[in-house]
Amino acid sequence: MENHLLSLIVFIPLLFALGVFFIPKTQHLLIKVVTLVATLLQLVLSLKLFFDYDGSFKPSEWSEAFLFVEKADWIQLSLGNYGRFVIDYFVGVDGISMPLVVLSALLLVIGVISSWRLTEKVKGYFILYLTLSTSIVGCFVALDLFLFYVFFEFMLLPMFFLIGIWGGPRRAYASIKFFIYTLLGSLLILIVMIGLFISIEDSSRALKMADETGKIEIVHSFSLVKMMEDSYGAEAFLAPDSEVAFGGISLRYWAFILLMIGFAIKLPVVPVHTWLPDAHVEAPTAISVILAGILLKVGGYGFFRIAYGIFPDAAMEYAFPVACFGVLSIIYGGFAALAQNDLKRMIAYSSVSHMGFVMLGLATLTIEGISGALFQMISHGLISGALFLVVGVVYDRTHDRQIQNLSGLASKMPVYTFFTVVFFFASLGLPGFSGFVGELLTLIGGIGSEGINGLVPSWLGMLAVIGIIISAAYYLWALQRMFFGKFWAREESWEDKLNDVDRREWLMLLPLAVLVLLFGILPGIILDPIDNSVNFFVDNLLSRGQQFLIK
Amino acid sequence: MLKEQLGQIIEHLTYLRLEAALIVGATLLLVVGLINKKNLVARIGFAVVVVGSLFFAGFNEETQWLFTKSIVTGPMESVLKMLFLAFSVWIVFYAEAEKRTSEFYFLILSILIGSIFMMSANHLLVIYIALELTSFTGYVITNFNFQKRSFEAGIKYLLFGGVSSAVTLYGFSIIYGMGGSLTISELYFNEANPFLAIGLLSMLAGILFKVSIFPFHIWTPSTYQEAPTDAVAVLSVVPKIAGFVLLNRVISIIDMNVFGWVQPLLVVIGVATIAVGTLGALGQTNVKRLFAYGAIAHSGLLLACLLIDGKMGATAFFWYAMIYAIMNLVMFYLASLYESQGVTDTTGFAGLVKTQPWWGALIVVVMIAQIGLPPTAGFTAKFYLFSALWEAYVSLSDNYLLTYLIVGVVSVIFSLFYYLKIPYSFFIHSAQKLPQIKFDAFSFLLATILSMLLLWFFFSPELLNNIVVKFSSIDW
Repeated sequence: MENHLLSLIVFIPLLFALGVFFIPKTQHLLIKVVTLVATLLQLVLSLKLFFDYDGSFKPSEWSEAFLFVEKADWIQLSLGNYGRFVIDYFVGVDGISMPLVVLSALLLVIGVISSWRLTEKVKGYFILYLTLSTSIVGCFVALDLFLFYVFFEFMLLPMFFLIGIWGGPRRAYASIKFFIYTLLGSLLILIVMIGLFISIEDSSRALKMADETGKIEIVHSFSLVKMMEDSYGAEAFLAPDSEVAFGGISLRYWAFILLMIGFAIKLPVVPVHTWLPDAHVEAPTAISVILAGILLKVGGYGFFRIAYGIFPDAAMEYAFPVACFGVLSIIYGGFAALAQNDLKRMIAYSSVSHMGFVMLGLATLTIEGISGALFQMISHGLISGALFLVVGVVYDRTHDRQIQNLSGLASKMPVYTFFTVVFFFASLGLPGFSGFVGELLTLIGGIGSEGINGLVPSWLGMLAVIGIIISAAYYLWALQRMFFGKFWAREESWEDKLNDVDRREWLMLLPLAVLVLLFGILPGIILDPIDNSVNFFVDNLLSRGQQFLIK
Repeated sequence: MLKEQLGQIIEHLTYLRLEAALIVGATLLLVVGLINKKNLVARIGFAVVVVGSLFFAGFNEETQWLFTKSIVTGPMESVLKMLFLAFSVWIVFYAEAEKRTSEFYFLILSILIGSIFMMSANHLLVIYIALELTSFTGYVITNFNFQKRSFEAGIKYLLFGGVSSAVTLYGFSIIYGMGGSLTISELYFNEANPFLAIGLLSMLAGILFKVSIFPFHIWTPSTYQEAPTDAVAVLSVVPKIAGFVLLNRVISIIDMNVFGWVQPLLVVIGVATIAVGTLGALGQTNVKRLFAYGAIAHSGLLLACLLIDGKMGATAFFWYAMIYAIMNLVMFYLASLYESQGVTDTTGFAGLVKTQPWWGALIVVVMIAQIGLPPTAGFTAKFYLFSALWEAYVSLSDNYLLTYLIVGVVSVIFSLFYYLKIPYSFFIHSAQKLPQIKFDAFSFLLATILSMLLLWFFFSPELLNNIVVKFSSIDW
């Protein structure tokens, strides 16, 4: 059990999906219970992961940075002079991926509770939901690029159907748009992946295999660890000393740019964010929660682990443009949110704005910036998940989400208003809530970077502060329009339906509210275990980056 | 002397056991069909002939030159022969197989025989005969639906085929004139010569026609749409793969450095083929026509494998060919089942998820494989192909190959649009009136097993990888 913890977390939902497959489709309750059990089991195991994770360990090289490592052979192909291609089942976590695994498991449970009232095509929904769970968590733990890519691609399909079948009126358009945008992104990643594995040579593995087979072959590996250790072959064209260029930019930088675009689509970053509002508006509530809470983080995680981890020199070279896109997202997303009348669309744009902080924090390559970006991902996962649940509460009752169609909800639904206020304030970065910590750390990184490593000029960080002010504007304005004043609803029939939150909704909102407050007051719960990993990440990237840039 | 030669011919005949068995079997099948006209007899007869011939198959580790070098069989050919047979036998389970007579299966067997010879021919005249054998049977079999539209498609096919085979023959005559030999492996041109260029181009025309590469792809959509689906399954796989092996052999007679324009030309037509296929498919609503355009795009990708030398190229080619064959087998099987229930348009699948969710899942698997997404073997095939192109680009720093790679990758996005049309309509659209469609348990089982192959080869590709290790290049 100890050794297979990660595999269990990844594959338990898939096993249960197989179980659900054999339940007759009329047994709605049974299907839901089985799904809930699966996700709860996943949560319990990831909590075990969280508590067993040894944060005091200081790694000094990538090969020892990952804990709970599992490795098994998967695919091998020998190609004579070209060497042998090796694809492994290789999983493990470090301080960067561990909190994201726990976050995913938590939100996946909440997603099941949120879809409890589903009555249409229940069986298909939960099978897809469980498959999605496996591929999401798999993404965060994969240490083999091929494995990562498989999980990454496989998220698209369940998501496409979940939006396309159970979504709102324009679901067909939204689902295909989502699919095409993300597929475009993952194809860019695919190209880089192929280039990388051709360049990487695993000499220790080659020696080991030579012992077994008796002949020495070059081993091309997909291992992310090997990629971060820069174990490039002689004259590999993605190696730091390679002189291969295309259009005046070295191929290594091209690879970084393609990866950044690929993951930026997922994150999403302005200007490739347009799929997100559509997908969110049409997706059912639970799927919006998963989409905003976890799927966007896969993009952020890809930046950390793949784009930055493998190409630190390009990351330093392009720190300024990356930070610019981050700030652009923060401000553009904020203004776009200000202009929305649909509550869900507003929150979708606010997600774009908040994910901009992740990009800004990452670009600075300072310890504050990186921990801030990571903290922001966790905090935004909780808050945006909760915000979509909050929208879901109104939508379930009225089937309408227009801000101007309701007002004075505070008098009618006090508890609901309380939760909304909590999450709105958490999202706009009020001290005491988790959103504040993440944004503060990123801004410290953003403003301080100029003095520490000179990568990002201070004024960019200062510009990003405007984003917080805008977010205050749209949240407070929405609060004022919808919740305060005299009660009024566009349709009279809504008045009876607008009851306060029920037990099921309490169950979803309360844990998130508690966690948002807890992490806001005691950010150390997250920051302490990841501290050593982040320090190592930053030091390693800066030293490798500088070394390559001098070449 | 004569005795020696005779002895050699007899000895060489043993290498053609499989072909001989097919020819004898085909003739017997035709005779049996004259005596007993029952459909079941024809189907069983066909299956027996194909499976029986498989027993004569053997794997040649070394390249064998037979009949004074007019025929050659190497590792790739011997494996592909088995693949063709193992592939074709399944068409007896297609929905419209219930209407088939022994003549139909005789024609299918002729396609198989023609393709096998096409693939192993090393002599211009043998090539011509093999090309014509597959073409003629192709023209006839297109008409087997006996409808006005299929006659039209057949005539179209015949006219295009006739012209291109005439041009090919013209090309052969020039090549023979310039090179002084009809045996391909003895021809090698390393001096630029305009006549030779004309001869080469003309010769390529007929072969490109068989593998439906732009601009010789025009017959494909209407033929695939109107021909019987079981015949299309064979036509879209067997002559095409055989044609690519032949194409590879034919372009080997020239020195690519002297004829510097050949590689760019192949890249340009390959890229154009991908473009025509993907863009053409976007607007289609007829299922088989859509698949036809998709098959054209696949031809463009298969052509890329020929531009990569050595083991990498052979690996990419074999994987792509193998997976393409499995995908098409299942895809046309599903198409034939739904066609038998009157569903020929993508819109006809609307709302079927209510009654047939499992069939929908199978369709999704096949379509995802066609697009080339994990976790299906379609992804593995595309992955090997793109890796090989990358590797070739890096070692040669040839920007043409990079262009090919980029177009190939971009085509994946476009293919998403059209291959998802059916699942899209199946799951997301709803129908006013749901058609009553039900298939029996056997087709259910067969479709499931065949589609699961696509998943299985993704998760455990050892079987194919072990075969691939034996190839050092596509040809000798």
